[in-house]
Amino acid sequence: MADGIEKLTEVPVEFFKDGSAFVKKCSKPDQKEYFKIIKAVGIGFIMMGIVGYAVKLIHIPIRYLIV
Amino acid sequence: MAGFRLLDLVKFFLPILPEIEYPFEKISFDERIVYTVSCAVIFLFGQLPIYGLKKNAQFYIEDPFYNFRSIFSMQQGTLLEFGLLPVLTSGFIWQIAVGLRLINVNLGNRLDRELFQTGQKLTSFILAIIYTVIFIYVGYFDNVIKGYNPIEIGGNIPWGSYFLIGLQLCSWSWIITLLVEIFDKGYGFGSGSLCFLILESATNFIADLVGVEIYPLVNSNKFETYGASLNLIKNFKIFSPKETAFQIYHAFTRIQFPNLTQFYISLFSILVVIGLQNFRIEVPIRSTKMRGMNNIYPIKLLYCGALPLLFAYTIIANLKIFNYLFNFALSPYFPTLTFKLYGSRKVLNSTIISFAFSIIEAFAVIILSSWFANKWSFISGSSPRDISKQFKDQGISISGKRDVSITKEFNRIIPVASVSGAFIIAVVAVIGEFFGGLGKGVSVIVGVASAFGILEEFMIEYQQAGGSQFTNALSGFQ
Repeated sequence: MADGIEKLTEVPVEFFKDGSAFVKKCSKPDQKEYFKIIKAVGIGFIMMGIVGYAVKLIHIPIRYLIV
Repeated sequence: MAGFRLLDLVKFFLPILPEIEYPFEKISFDERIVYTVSCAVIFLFGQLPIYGLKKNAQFYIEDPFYNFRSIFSMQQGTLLEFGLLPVLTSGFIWQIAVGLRLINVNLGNRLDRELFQTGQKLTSFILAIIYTVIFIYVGYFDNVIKGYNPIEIGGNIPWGSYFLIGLQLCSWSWIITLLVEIFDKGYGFGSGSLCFLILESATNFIADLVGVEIYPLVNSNKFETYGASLNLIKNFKIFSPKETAFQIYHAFTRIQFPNLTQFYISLFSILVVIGLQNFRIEVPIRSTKMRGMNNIYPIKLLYCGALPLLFAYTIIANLKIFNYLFNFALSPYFPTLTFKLYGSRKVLNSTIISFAFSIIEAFAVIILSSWFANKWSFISGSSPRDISKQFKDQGISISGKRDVSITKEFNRIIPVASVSGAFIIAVVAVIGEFFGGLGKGVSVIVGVASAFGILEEFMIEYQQAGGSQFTNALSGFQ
């Protein structure tokens, strides 16, 4: 029984050990790279949002027609 | 029953289900853009309200699902009432069934693959019908059906309206399923449902911030702007600091419309995800055919992207929908047993039970997504075995390792990467939810993380196509 419990706790502990070791080993983006990506993604995301929202605005007159 | 497979049951439906045909020849880059954009526009038209409901119905429906609506782009009182939930649920069911070897399918075989896809579509169609029946049976729309008062005793049950609403919900859900199929058969970029999710989360992000529509407040005669920051700017009174302070407080806490708290949670989640996206381990590789050809092969921390998180929330959303049904169906028999767990917002904010449940939910999200990440790293197209096979075909090997140990090496790295990535992203999402993100944080996490995958595919295609007519035409203006 005690063996079973030990096994049960072993999996998460092992997982945290492996995971934190992995994250430490990872190469991380430096600040310059990070800001560059944020700029690119941000512009893309906002552009997409604006286009999507513009289409949504077209709905307003249609909404008045059908409701 | 030897040789009988569940998949064969699908065969009966093969001739009667509508199907998107595979493209005859390779779709060119420009055509793919056109397909993607037009599908997206059709998808956005699902935000039109359901015919047969009152005006501004979305504010009068008592909403048990408010905290995961934005994740599946379920828009209240519109044709997208179920959003992408049927498609995603059926997709995950089939993938997991294959991953756990519950059904026997050989995805290398063309017929099997076709049956697999048809099975997904069929499940999605059936789920749409089930959800519709549940919603109408429980009386989700009763408050807002035109010309019907549920409180009035002896009033006629509006069978006609029920039928009409059900028809609209089902058929739109089927159209969404087919739109997703268009993407998945190679006409668009990336996976259809993820593409729609990105679009939806980006649109909501903008609309929540600067939406210009003006809606009436429920139970009062005031009006407010939909966008949180726009409403704040509009109500700014520079000469009355007390009023201004109240408005700022209100902008962060209003309930009926999006508030600034959700916006900042979304922003924070985006920044974290972009950072995490670039965490990777670089495995040094070398060519076995040519000497001195050294390179690196990156393994990302977010190996499965946001799929594990999406999976966890899909499960929870389905549980909540069925809980909604059982609460209603069982309440006459066990009035004391069934708490109103997912009742109105006020009830939810004030009870301790719901607090306990949100903690359980948070743990469930984390555990489910870690479990899924572990499974997914073996069943997806980029499992350790697939990658090492790919390496062998291209004559690549890991530096300092023999050919045979490539699979072993990847087996050591990839599951750890995908599980820890999924764990971290789930924790970020759960923290956002805890502070009142109401699913907005999760939806942008899923959106941004999937956007990277699709962007990658887009860039590769772009380079292979050697530019596009669109960019050539645009560069003419400069």
